[in-house]
This record gives sequence, structure tokens and C-alpha cells, in this order.
Amino acid sequence: MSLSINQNVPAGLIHIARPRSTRRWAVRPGLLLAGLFVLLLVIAAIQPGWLVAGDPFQAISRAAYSAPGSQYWLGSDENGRDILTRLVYAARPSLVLGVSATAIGLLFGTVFGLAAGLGPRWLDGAVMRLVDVLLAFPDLLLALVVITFFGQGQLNLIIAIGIANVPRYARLVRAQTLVVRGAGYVEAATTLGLPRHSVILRHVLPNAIKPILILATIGIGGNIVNGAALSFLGFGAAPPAPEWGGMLAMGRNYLANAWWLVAWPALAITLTVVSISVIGRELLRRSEGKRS
Amino acid sequence: MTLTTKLARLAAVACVMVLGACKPASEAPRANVTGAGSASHAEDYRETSPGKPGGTLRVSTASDSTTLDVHSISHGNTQWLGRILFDCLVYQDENGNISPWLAKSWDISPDGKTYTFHLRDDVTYSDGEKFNARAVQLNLEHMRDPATKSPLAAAYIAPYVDGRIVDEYTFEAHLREPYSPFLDVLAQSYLSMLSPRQIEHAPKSIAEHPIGTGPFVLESYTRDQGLNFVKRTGYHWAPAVTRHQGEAYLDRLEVSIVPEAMIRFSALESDQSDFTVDAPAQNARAIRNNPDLQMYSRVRKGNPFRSLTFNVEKFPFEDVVVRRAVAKAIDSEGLAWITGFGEYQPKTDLLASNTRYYDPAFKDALRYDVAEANRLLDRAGWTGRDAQGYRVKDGKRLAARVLTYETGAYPSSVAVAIQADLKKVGFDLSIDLIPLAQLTEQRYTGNFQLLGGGYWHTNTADGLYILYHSHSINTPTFIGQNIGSFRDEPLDAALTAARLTTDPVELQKLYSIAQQRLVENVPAVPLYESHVLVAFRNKVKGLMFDTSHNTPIFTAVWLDPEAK
Repeated sequence: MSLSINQNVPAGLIHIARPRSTRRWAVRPGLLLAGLFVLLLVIAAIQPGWLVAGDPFQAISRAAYSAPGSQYWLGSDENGRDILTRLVYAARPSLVLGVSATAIGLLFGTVFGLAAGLGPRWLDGAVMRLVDVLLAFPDLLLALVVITFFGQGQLNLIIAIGIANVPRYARLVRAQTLVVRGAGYVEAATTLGLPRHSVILRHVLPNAIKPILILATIGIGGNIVNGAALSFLGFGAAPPAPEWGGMLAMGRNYLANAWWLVAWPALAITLTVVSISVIGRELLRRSEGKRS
Repeated sequence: MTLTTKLARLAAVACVMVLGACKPASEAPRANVTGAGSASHAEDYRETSPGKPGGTLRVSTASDSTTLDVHSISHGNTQWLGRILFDCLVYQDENGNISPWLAKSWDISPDGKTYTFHLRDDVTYSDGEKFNARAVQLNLEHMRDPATKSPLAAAYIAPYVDGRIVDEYTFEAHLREPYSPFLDVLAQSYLSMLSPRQIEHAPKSIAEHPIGTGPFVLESYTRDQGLNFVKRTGYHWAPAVTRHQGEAYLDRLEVSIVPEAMIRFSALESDQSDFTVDAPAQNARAIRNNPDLQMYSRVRKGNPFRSLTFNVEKFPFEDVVVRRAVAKAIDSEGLAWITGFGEYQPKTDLLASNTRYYDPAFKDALRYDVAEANRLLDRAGWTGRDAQGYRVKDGKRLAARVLTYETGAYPSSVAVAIQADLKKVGFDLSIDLIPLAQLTEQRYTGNFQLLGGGYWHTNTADGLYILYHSHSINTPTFIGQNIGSFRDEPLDAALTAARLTTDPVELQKLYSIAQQRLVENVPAVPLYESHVLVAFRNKVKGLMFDTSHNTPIFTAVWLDPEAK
């Protein structure tokens, strides 16, 4: 999953270059469903009690591994907890992780990218070689390295995945900066005698970052997957905190007799990532439509 | 106590913990079918009809014991691996009485401090060397040699002072004090008789190329992959209790190490393996429903699994009422279900039910009873409640941290289930999931309130001494298994007295007192029996179980080509 997302990023850039006339306000059903799902996720993250009545920590051992039915709609997990309730409560950490890790990646990526794109040649070279080195590591491996230094826990997970995102965003921002730097309006602004910092802040930054912000939307989905992967590997929040990746990790041991332990969190992760990607792509399409 | 002994003990303990953790994970039982422990059938322990020689048995197991020097480890696999390669001085019968094996007979001096063993004179090692009194002496020396770093065998023969070779086939062992479990522990695989030549000249070679007197000879051993054994020709000294005569039936025995439970199961199902000594509990139902497969569940003697061990010197567990309330608030049946899928027999007292001198009279004292747990806590003064519903007394919340680490035998779901159970009675349990090394350190410094998991298998009720006698408490100079610093004078008295007598009536009385004191004073919360779960294809016949460990013995196993 994360692989396909990663591939989508450069693919998205190609989309920008391809002019298309879109029916602007026609909403496709897929997009509508994706929007509804994300809305549901946001509600689950903000106020899970509106969606489910139960307590995600309420465990009845004797009812463990109950199949989906009238009592447990999606079945019960290895501790006899309601899987639906836990899925809903796990939305918050997942979304928070996806959004904040992306924000961290974006923030530092932008700083490095701008510095490389606008700074002196030696700085450009230094930053980009560093980025090349970091890009040589798969995201997850980089995040694992960071976790090894910072230790476990939800916050460190966010930082780790955020840092793992930095190289990619740095490279994108630099590329955009170089494009924008040569644009006519920047030259015009410089010619008009604007000081360098206001040219950067008023013209280069906003224009360079806009397409990247949209790509970052798609990146949120990828980060949720990475977060789930890391918590699957045991680097996430400690039990009994509900977490999709953690639920998957526990459930895989019982795959032969209780498929629902794995199926639902897997489905939740998939739907989340697909929905966010669909929305992100739509934004991409729109932005490109506006520009053309 | 020397530093090396300390280290050896530390290593032993760590091993046992690792074991307790990783290996039982994959073993389980027949709990619901026979009521596990008590119902053991005599025919399980002996050959009922002669088998057909020939064939290769393919066995899978979950983990590698990392060495075949059985004196130097406490790994659970030793229990059955040792029986393949080696023999012991004595063997228990199905009732736990001591019967002859390599020792034909023995005399115990009236003061209980001198044991004279009369050995068989027709036993040889696979390299041709004779088994004799000197071999016994060298083996006992090897067990307690600090270089062996024995985690288990050395502790079991701790009262052994020295031995005397009376003649070639008579050996006299001198003990520091009377120690009635001496013969029992000598029947355990961990105290097998290794090759004296190896012990003397190349003790390091025992780990990978052991030479024994056993029914099979090691052909090859590849770490983490497997072991191959071939039949020992001329073997004819199986314990009389097993009623097996002559050589093993199988020509070859191939053991492969398969950590993934699903693969052990599917290999068995698809006839890529014939036998697994670590049948996964979650596949037990599928195995039983498969007409090509059979499954047996047995219980190890000694101490059952514990869900929690209290540090009785730390708040709030210095109060026995709180300990009892916690024990009664934990649904061990539910816990047995989440890890054992109906295969594990829940336990409410502290001695395995098939151990000799087990007394069932106390099994209700710690039974799951939430109402009673609440009453106990009220009575102990924990009557207030805070905003989150937890009990408070004098402004202090009823709370504790449990130290645990993630393993197959004690997955975090067990700790989570206990946490949820205790919350129902207003007890705030937090879970500290830490790496094993850190846990071991905190365990020995006594820096904990609660420890999760743990078990100690032995073939005698003296396992209680090892876990709960005040002499087994950790001190700066002694590393003991009584990690919660539990002390109870009547218990100490009973367990000490039991080591001094061999009279069964007296022993029953003493161990009954011990068991009663334990459920009344609750040093730990029992969880379920320590299960051995084996599964095999129908063509495997003649399986019998070890009277000491309840693990499979392959000497009389044969393959029936007609069975599917």
C-alpha cells in the first residue's frame, strides 16, 4: 500500500503538467463516498462517542474471538473487546499521526527545499546530497532508525515518520522553487526592486508550495499506512491503546480461526488511504484546472 | 555462595523465564477433554503392544534449545530431547514412585544423607565407553561445575557434597543434609548421564556433538534448523516402567525447528511432517476435527503458570487481603480461553494437579468471584472511589504497575485482560511492557510491584520450596526463585520438613499444609496448568509420555504403513 502511494507522488506531478478540462462541480460517486468516509473519520477522531456507545477498553475474556454477530457487529478481539468500538477509537491516533507527520515532513522539507533552491550553489549541493542519501533508505527503515534513537511511543512515532518524509518534500520544494524562481513574475518583482526576502515570501514560497500542499494530502494516507506498519512491528502505542496497526499485529497470530481480528483494521486502513488519495487527487485535478 | 554460582543461577533463572515465556507458548493440552491433570492414564506411560521397526519420523518443534548439554540449560525442549539421546539414573513410575533405570537399585542411609546406587553393568555409550560409577560421579561434578553454568541441574543437586566410587558399578552420593526429592530430580532429563569421556576431555563438544547411552544417536545438528538422529543399535536398557524392550523401532528421527505456529500446523496437515511437539493451541480444534490427525494434551508437574507474582514488600501487596482480592478478581478461565482456546486448564491453586501430593482441597479458595473480591477490598478499607471509579484509601489510589514482556506464553493480551478484570473491582493496574533484559534486572533488584507470567516445572512437589520458601528469597548474595520475597513460617516449616522425610503419609500431610498456606497467603495468582500439546498423523503409533515431564518419548514410537 505504502509503495503505491509513494509512486503516486511523482505521478501526480505529471498530472499537473497535463492540461485537462474538467467539469468543475460535477461530483463523481467515488469522490462522494470518499468524502463521506473521511468525514466519518474526522467525527470518529473528534467525538468517537457519537458513532459508538461502547468503551474500547471494556474487555470480557470469555467473550474473546466471538464472530461478528448481533452482540459484536464486527466480532470481538483477543481480549473480548468490541472491534467496531476499537476501530472507531483508533481513528484519532491514526489521523493525528497522518496529519502531524505530514506537517513535520512538509515544514522541514520546505525549509530545506527553499534553502537548496534559493541558496548558494554549495548549500544546494550539500542539502541535495544529504537528501539523496536519505532517500536511499526506505521510509520505514528511516523511521525505524529514528525510533531507535528517540524511543517508542505515539509522539516519537509521529516524529519518526515526519522525519522520514523530509527528504521527499525537500526535493519537491526545491524543484518547484527552481521552476518558480525563473518565472516571469519573480523576475518582474526583482526588477521592480523588491527586497530578496519579500520576493521569497510573497512570490516564490506561495507558488512553489501550492502543488506540494496538495500532494501532501495524498501523503497523509501514506503516513497513516506507515504508522500502522510501525505499530504492527510493535513500535506504536503500548497496549491496551486501540491502534489499527497494533490490532493487525495481534490479530495475525489468530488468522486461522478468527479472521475478523485482521480483516476489519485492514479494511479501515485501506479505506482511509484510498479515500484520502481520492480526495487528494481530486484537489490536484482542480488546482491544475484552475491554472490552465 | 560464590560469584560464579550466583551468575549460574542468574543465567538459569533467566533461561527459565525465557522458557517460561517462549516455549510453552506453543504448547497446550487437552483440558476440556479429560480435565487435564488428574486424569492421566497408565497406558500413556508404557508400551502397550510391540511395534514394527523401520522408518523415519519427521518431528517439528517451535524453538532451538541452542545446546545439547542438558546440564547447562533449562530449555523446555530438553525434556524430550534428553530422552532421545540420554538416559537417567532412575525413572518415575506413573504414580511418581522412583523406579530403576541405569541404577538397578539404591539404598538410602537412615540419616537420609547417603545414597548408594547399584548400577547396571551392561550399559555402554554410543562410542563404546562403559557406563559405570565413575560416569555418575563425573556427571554430578559436571552439573555443578561453575563452568557448566547450570541453571537448573546444579540447583537441584545443591545438597550433594561428594561421591565415592565403591566399586565399578556401585556409587555412593553424600548429601549435606537429608533431601528427599534427590531421586525425583535425578529422574529428570536435565540430569541425564552424559559421556564421561566428553566431560573430562572435551566438555565444550557436548553442546553440538553429545554422546549418550540413549535409544538414538545424534547424526547432525544445525542450529535453528534441525537435528537428525539414528537408532542406537544394541540399546536394551529402556526403563522397566515403559515396558519397552530392546532398540527403538524408528530407524531415523528428524527434528526440524519451525517457529511459526501456522507452519507447524500446515506441515502436519499436508503430511510434510508426522509429529509436532509444539502443537499450536489455536489450531487444536482443526487438528481434532481432522480424521488424519491425533492430538494429545498433557500437563507438566510442579508449578502451574502464574498470571501475576506479588512483591509482598511493596504497596499495596503487603496486605494479604488485597492479594486475595486481586486473585479472586482475575478470571483465570477467561485468560485460559484467550491464550489456550479451550485447551488450557484454568488453575486456582499453586501446585500442578498431577504432581504427587497435590491436594485438591484448596482449589476453591482463590476461585474467580468478583463480589467476594469487592467485599475483601471494602474490608481492607478501600472504600472510597475517585472520579475514575478507582478505589482510594487515605487519599491514595489502589494502583500498581505490572512488569511484563511480550512473549508467546504471556502475550500482552493476558496483561490487558487482567487490567480489565481488576478495573471492575476498582483496582488501577498499569502495564509496563519492557524488554526482557530490563525485566530481569528489575526482577532481581526487587524493584517491582507485580510481575507478569512465569512458571517452574519440576517433577516433585518440592517445586514449592524453590518458589515460595523463604530460603529461596533473593538476597545480595543469593539468587533465588522466590522473587516476591514471600515468607510464611508455617509454610517454611512444612517445606523444610518435607525435604527431611520420605514417608508418603507424612509428605502428604506436609505438602497439604504447604498448599493450604499458599492459597491462604497468596504469593502469586495461578493462571493455568503448564501444558504439553502434541499432535501427529495417524500412522504414528506407540507414543508414550515421560512420567517426569509428560513430554513424548520416541523409543517405542513406530510407523504403521497401513494407517493413513
